[in-house]
Amino acid sequence: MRARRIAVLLLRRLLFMIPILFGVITVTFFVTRLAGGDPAYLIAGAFATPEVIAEIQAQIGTDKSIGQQYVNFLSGAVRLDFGEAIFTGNPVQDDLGARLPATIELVAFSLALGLILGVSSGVFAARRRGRKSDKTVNATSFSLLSLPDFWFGLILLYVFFFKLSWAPPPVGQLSANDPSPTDITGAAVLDSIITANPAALKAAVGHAALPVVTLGVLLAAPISRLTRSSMLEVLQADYMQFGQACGFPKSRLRRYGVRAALPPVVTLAGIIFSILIGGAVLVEVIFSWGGAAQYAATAIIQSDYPAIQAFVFVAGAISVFVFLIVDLLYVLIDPRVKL
Amino acid sequence: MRVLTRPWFGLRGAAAGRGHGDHRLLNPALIAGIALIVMLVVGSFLVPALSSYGPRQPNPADALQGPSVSHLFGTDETGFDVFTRVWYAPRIDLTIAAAGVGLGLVIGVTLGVAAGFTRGLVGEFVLRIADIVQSFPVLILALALVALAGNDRTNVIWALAFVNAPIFLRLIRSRVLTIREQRFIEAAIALGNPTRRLLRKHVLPNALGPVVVQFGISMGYGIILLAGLAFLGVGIQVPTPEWGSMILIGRSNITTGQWWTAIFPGLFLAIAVFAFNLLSDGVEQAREVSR
Repeated sequence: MRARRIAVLLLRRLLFMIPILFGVITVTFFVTRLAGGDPAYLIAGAFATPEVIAEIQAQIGTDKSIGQQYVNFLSGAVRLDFGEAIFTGNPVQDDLGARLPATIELVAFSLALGLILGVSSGVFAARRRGRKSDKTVNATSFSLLSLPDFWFGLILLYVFFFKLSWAPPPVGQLSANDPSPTDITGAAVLDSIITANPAALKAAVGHAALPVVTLGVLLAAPISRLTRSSMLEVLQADYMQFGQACGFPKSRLRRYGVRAALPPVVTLAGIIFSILIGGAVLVEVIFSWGGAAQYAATAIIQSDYPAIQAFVFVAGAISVFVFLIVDLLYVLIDPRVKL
Repeated sequence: MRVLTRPWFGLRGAAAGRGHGDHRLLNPALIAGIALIVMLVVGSFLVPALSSYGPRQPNPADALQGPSVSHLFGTDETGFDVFTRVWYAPRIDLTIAAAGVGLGLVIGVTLGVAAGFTRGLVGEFVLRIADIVQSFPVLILALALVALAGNDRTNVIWALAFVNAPIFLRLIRSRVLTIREQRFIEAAIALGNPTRRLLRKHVLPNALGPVVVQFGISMGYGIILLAGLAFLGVGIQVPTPEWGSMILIGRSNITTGQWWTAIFPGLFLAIAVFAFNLLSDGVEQAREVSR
């Protein structure tokens, strides 16, 4: 019965996504198109002749009317065809497709680390409410909220690469002389695992360590604070006191408590994941990660208009999908949610 | 982007622990936040005035020197005095962030009050657009806006306003929806108050509390955002004495050991963000005490 209801919910939510994705496409178009003037001038530079500008306009399609451009972008986006990137000359969707797995890998590992650190410290703090250890966790997480990720990454680089030489140089997912796995997805750790290449895996994990720690430690802060407050609420709930009165062992109570406290954390994790697809830009740049976010940053600096448009759309679309997954997870982990 | 939750900070005890009826609005977090902000603002005028180096005065002979008595925070690769520039930066960082977030607040609150109070189709439409705008990663949206609209400071302000307006819109709308159902609004309508006066005198003052808290959070994030843009070379350009742009200059020095060129600007950036987080935490606590 419940499984059927979940299936219906999924179907309804998928249908509902059509207008949302339509909205994402529309906002992408108007934000990127109407923010400034004709991007052809940006691309051509200050000293371009009218002929060059006209040529670029024809290439990126800005010689047509706004309405026509919107229809073109809309039909392109539906077919995932965003035209050619001006600076690489490849179809934008190919460029992004090749780099997205690396970004997703970085974000997923960072989020996993953030969840491990955040949930454990949050539960720890909630169980020691008001004690010194609780206050220490709180002060730490509050301070971490203020640290810019790109600066934190540079500090880690200085300490672990320059001073201690534990970490490899910030040259991307692998150094040039590292054993590299066969390129399947473009995400080095994942590829090493798929191709069962332990030497490449070791190198890939080494290169991923600093960027993942940079993002993971900073992400742990909001996760820890939310877990703590959610856990405090649960610990005071009647059912927990009833469980205690029944004489349940502490470990069992803790398991129940953590499970009941998790739903808001799952929502937060979803929000973080979708933000990070683009938010990882700065960390990717520092470690030359070579993912989609860094590609977008380069495109933005070079005014590569089709590439910018495509990435803004893809990032928006990914977050719409992530929210869908979060909603479904919510139903799965919290039986109290009515369908 | 962080959303408004109920932040809790260890400093709370002293203010909240007092007996009932002791409506102390000042708490340690609030005082510390305000003190740090005042320090940064005053320092941004005082330190460059007293310093023997200008914030835009290169001195190639002294390039890349470590912290010493003559250069407290060392010098960067063009011989800029890092100490002077780091202290000068709040004039740029805080001003742009305040302008952008403030503009977003005004736009968001205006639209939010309208959307919440009328509850019509237009309000619903505005809300859906805000939803969609919020589903884009903030950093990418801001980057794209500034890069396409033109690489200058005014556009950074507009970009900050654009990404912050939906946050304020949703916040104020949900408050207005609750408030408009309350008796005193009914009474005010019955007394014949025109809508304008109703909104200004009765709805808005009661809805603004969480907006102030969010303003602090948004300021903190806004400073990080604009420094992040500058770090990518978007918005504010090298050699402007601005924290993100200074970290960009110092970035390449980190892997060769000259840590001071990037670490000090980032430290001040973090202090500024910390100050605004403290401020919003303090305001939140004060609101709880006064309730």
